[in-house]
Amino acid sequence: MMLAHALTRAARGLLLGLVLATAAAATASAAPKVGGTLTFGLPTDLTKVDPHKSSAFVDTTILSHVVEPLVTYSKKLEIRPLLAESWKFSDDYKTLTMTLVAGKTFHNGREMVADDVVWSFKRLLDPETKNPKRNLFENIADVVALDAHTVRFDLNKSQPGFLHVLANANPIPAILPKESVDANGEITKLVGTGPFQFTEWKQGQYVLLKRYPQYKSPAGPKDGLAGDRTPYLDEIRMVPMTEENVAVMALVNKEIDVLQYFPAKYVEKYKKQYSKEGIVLTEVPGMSWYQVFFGLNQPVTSNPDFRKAVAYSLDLGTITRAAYMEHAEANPSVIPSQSGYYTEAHTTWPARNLAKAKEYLKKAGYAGEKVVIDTTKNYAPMYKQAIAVQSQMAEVGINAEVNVLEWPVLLKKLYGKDFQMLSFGIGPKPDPVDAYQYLNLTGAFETYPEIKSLLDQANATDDTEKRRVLFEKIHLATVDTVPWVEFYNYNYLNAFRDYVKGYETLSIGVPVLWGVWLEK
Amino acid sequence: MYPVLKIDNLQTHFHTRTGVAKAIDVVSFEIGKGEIVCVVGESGCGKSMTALSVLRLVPHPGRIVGGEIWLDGENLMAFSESEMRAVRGDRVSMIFQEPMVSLNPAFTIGNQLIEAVRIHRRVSRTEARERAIAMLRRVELPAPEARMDAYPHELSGGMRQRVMIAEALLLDPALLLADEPTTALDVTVQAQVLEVMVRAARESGTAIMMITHNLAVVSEIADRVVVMYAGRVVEQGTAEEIFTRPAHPYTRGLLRAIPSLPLGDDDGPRQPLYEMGGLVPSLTDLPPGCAFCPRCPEAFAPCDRERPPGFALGSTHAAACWLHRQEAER
Amino acid sequence: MLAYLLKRIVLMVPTLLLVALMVFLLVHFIPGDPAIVMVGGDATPEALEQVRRSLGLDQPQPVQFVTWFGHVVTGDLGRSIGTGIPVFETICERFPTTFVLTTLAMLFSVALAVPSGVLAAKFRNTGKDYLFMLVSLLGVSLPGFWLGLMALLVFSVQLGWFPSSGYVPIWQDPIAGLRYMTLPSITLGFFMAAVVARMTRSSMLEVMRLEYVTHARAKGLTEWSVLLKHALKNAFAPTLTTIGIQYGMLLGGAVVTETVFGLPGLGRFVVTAIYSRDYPAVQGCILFIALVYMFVNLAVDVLYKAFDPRVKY
Repeated sequence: MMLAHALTRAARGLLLGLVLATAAAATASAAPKVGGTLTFGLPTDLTKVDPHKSSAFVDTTILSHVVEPLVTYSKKLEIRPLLAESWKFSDDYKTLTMTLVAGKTFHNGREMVADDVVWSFKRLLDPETKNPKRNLFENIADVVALDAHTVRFDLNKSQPGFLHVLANANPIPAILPKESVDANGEITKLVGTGPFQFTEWKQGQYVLLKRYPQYKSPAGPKDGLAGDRTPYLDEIRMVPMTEENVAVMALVNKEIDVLQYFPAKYVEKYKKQYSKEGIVLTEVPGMSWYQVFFGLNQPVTSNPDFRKAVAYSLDLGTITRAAYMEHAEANPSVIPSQSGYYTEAHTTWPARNLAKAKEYLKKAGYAGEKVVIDTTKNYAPMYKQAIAVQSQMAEVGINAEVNVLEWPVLLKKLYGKDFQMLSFGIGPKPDPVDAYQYLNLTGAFETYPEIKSLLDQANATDDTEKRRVLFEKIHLATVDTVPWVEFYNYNYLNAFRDYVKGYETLSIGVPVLWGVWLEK
Repeated sequence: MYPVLKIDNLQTHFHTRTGVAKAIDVVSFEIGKGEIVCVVGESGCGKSMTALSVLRLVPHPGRIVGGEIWLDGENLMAFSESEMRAVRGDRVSMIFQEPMVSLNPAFTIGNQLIEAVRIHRRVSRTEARERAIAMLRRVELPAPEARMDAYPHELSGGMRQRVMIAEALLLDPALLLADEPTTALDVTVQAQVLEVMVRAARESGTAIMMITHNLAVVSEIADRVVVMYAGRVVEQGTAEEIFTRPAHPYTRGLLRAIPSLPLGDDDGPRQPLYEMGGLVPSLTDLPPGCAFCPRCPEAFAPCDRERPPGFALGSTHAAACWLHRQEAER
Repeated sequence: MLAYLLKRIVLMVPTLLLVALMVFLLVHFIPGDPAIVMVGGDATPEALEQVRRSLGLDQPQPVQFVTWFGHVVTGDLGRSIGTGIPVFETICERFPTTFVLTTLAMLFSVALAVPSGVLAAKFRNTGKDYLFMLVSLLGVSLPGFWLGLMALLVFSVQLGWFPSSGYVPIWQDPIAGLRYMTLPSITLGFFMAAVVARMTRSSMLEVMRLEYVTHARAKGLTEWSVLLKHALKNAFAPTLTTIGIQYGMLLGGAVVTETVFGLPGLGRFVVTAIYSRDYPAVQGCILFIALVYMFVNLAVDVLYKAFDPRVKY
């Protein structure tokens, strides 16, 4: 049952080599220079200025430079201090007491204090705020300001992983000053504590950020979103480049300095041409994960033997290449290879075996019934992988049909558990507990209570070793029951002009523009 | 002295996908100064095409393929396009059948009249305007000043045709081509309009080539008559000759088809309205002999084989019919 | 004339009411709702229900319609669920761009298409005519998306004449603004021109068969005067209607052009709003677009009389 992973491993080695080479080039240059404007090409426009109301990842990309949460992630996705300099859990993990950094100011000049933390979390929890991810914070019973620089979180249930909630990237549980909202409770001009100030948003044109000169950075070297966060750039212009071909032209024309998502189809052209024209390409393994869900309550797909047959009919490498060419890593687990929880056990998955697939089909009593794979073209990989899955299933005689839906309709079917197979993709979840929650969308918690109980145990401890063992068990349980088939994590292809120094993207997909300077 | 118009062996053909349509097979006739010549015949016989050929405005895909057209002794076929433009509207003007569609609906009467003057005369707008108003007065259009600012659709059919007449005679042309100018009009105004046209033309010494199939009109105004059939002239003569001594069976047929005309020597009881049997031959496939032969009640030996030339029956009268070979040879 | 205008404007009110109802029904008829898009693929069914409640989507649809329409009547189009910004503010910010783009494109297309149509008609059924019509066939059938990209590749990347991205409103800086607007309005105008040229050609041919054209020639006018004065003015009236329809349609948003050239127009916003089921945004924008369309129609009808005096109000 061991997956032959050698090929993709080799590919990954090569790719990391590419990243390291450019990283070395970046560090080799001289000391940072203050000043200049950087134009940054985003895939879409900002959707909302209010981080408490946002659910779009593009908002995180922009707003993480303006607002700050209490704690944040290192490059290796460990929790690090940001607005809170230290903290302490009660033994039952039901109370968290945090000490805030003193002398930290909002962009309006006022010092950030414990009352702002209380106000911000109450706002995140207030149904009137219409926070789409309110459920993330529902375990918070109360937030209390003990003194100007100390706050206490009281939780309903024990939650050792609560710090991940506070470090959440999307939406950012940002600490905002209450004077930044108007009479309607709306934020029109965002005021934060981050290294850059929100200056202007022209819808569909640009978001302008300016350096916050009084910014007080946490100590230590830059490490992911943590450590040194000193801004060097005077201005950042974030421009939406909705059309990927035009985005590449804009980079070649030096109209933008950084392109956040470089289209994979242009990599060959990059190697032949752009690399000689002062453009640098980096490829960072990412943590987004793509899969097909099975409806455990539906005809045909409720049969585990049928799902096993599907698992044996699929070759993850082929599906991965169909969706992302060489720029994704096949991975049968929700835990990405760069995570601390990733172990050999997570490579376990049935390798493609047509004979076995047919054997399981017979066992399942499959008689050529039609099986529908729901997907959408709004996100190309979801569609491409669905097509690959369909053709591989056809090879063992499964009569599968791809049903293309509009994104909101696909979501509706997902939440309604109204699908046999559903092709999907999910953004980075640094804590595997959050990732495994998605099993519930297939109905696996009801059908396989043992998986739910393993997950509850993992949720109840912050002992890394214990959690590692539990996650292995959960993964192996998914191998046995096949509620989903995980395919891959894709890489972030970032391209920028060679005069942009110190730029990097994290594996959770957030680009970091503090610590970046221009060498023109 | 030259005749105003001399058409000599004119041939105008339409080159279509189905073959060559001989709209004007061969036509010759003359119009003298100030003379009113009526060209009669059924529709499709080439009357209107003769008028358009004179202006060299034969529409696509038609083309003048032979013959000459002489205006006051000058061969129009030798004229360049710009020389032709100088002729059109100045020395030769034309009135069309449908005043509803021959005036441009998008411009005022004044605009179109002033334009007609200023194409050919270097005069100021005011001068052109005055000239136009004077002309409108001559054709008895009521309130001519106010009409200048009216659009064609605001005028009745009779008034529109008066405007057309005024425009055609604005520059005292030598020749007026009038293509069934009253056919589309209300019967009650036909006579008035005709009278206005003839009087105005006489005043300016303009000769008229009047195309019509209305023989009642012909009998009233024509000095001479040209009868056409299937692209050819079958008979021509003075009005008197044609009406009293029609020589061609076709002409006789035409005359008999008219209800209210006294038919010369025919004093007997009124005959039932005569209808000519048969069909006009296809212009793409004319018979080798006389084109009228298939319909002719008097056809005999040579008619279906040989084309009759024009036989002179007098100094002004001629007919293209084998019946008159002996007469002509005497 | 004034009475006619007033009458037409008054008649817009019931039309708008109908449009409002239709838009509401259509938008609510398509499956999926804004709450589901807001929470994305990340929520529990309970959380989804909560968001739905907070947006008032749990109310019966007639109630939702009355609430929304009640606000619309007082001039309040509501806030976009997607951006949290009042819909009217977004329209005011984005419509001018679409307006300038479409207007420039229209001017360009008329300047290109009317002469082409006239020439094609003049040289009807000759090589020149076929060439004109082939080009206009290309204009109609080439995808605007591809055309836009090619224009950028040639004039922006190869020649460097125009920027490939970015935007400055023309009313802030006419020179720079025009630089950003040139390629998009030419691309869009080329598409419009194709349709307008075909219309011009066919109505020219129609008109040139009429007797007043022969009459104009018989007056001694040159062929050009006949074409450009007598034929064109008459042929332009139906062309004007075509231009009006296209202009009105594209004012609703030239989505493809706006996307390729990254212009912050209304079209892109509406499409995003439809995809995210942003009910207030879609409803507000479509209502506004319908109103604009009605005014364009009115303008066409008024202008029509200038070319065809036979029209009566």
